[in-house]
Amino acid sequence: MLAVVLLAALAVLDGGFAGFRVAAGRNASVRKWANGYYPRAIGRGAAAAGCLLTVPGLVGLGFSMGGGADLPRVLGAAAPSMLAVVGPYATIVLAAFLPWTLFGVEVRTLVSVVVFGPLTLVRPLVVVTGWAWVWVAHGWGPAAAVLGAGAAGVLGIERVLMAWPAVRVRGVAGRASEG
Amino acid sequence: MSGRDNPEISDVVVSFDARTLSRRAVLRDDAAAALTRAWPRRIVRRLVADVDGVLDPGAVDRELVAAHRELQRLNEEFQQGARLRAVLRPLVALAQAQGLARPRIVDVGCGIGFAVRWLAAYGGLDAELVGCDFNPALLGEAQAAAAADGLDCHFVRDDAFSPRVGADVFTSCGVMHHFRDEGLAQFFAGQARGLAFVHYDIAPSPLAPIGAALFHFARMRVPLARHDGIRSALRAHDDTALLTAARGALPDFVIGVYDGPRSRLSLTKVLRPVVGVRRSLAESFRRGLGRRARLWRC
Repeated sequence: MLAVVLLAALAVLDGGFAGFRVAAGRNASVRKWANGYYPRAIGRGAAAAGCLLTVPGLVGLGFSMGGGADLPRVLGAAAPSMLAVVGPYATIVLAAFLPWTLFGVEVRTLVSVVVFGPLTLVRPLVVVTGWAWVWVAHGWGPAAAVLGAGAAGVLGIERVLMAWPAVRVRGVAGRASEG
Repeated sequence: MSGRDNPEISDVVVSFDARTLSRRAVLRDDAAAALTRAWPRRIVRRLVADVDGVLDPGAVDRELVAAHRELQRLNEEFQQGARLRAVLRPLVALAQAQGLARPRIVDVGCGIGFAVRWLAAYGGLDAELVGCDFNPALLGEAQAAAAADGLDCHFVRDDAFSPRVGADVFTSCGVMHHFRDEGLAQFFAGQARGLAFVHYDIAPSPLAPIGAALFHFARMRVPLARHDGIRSALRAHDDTALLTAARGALPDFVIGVYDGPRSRLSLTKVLRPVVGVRRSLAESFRRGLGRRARLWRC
């Protein structure tokens, strides 16, 4: 079940990043870290991801209550397949923060150009591939349904966050109304 | 008109009288007709217009402000503030050595004033920081953001070609590619009274349009911002065009490209500045740059 826990943790972490991305480019302040705008956005994203995890939870519950599915066992068997795809992606993204934090302008720019930008674009593809790999390796069943619901939540989180009033109200003026 | 000269949406949806800075009405159909491709035309046709087809200035301004906020996000990601500060520090020291206690830095075509506000927050420059733009909506956003952050800088309405606000150092970011031919020469000529200038713009390369498309789709949501960002990379002037225009307009300046791409595949030199300094001050500026003087290629 470690793989399931890791996937859930990655979903929450991804939610934090999604919160940042959705908030970025909507507020003209140059002190967005210091004034709490980005920290709040990241927290909001992670919290939303945590809430969205209830969807695969409910799907799993439905299968369990329907009987016949030993969900912990099939999920535990299938989750490593998804982790095999999304894990390396997450590792690269997280590892890139090391040079970004330690070095100056040129390295930060290089990390953005080579890692952060392109990997943001391929993120949906990675999530879908991870889920497809589960389906291919383990066939359609409760595990594919639960992990599919989780993947759908990850893919939809930015839309959910964009609907948040503090994000919809754009810019400096909107900051006052943000909680 | 060559493909390279095709305008951006932001060039055609607003029009200001250069003399009075008053806003002219823009017909949506005229704006769309000025664009050669279907994608930007679709974006323009979605903008609100009145029964006579005149674009709603408020709707256009909201779109432009949103686009500039997203552009600021890219400037933040590519460390544009820190890059600008590195060049301005020796220029401010140079101006102070000329007896100017608090030299004035003016950002021409500042948009929502990211560079000025960043310098006010993190620049550590003992200088008066001013942003100028002809669009009051963008200036309003700049002023509001500066006030919210408690920054010591201000913004004035002015024309990029002949800024009435005097400056010791002129600067800009992503403005030069909006001007072609005589317009580019005029832009530089308007700054003849300053001691120096630092004008950043996209470094054209085979990778620039690809990188621009990647980042504008990864980071931006406003269609106008996406289109214009990619278009900017296609319209960017090469070093020769910029230096020819600048040197022709400002013969009393020593002018060169600073810290530009070292190869056509350079990944981190997304933007590079043309830096000019009055001839009499050029050697002092080189000394001020120290080891980085080799990056100023004149």
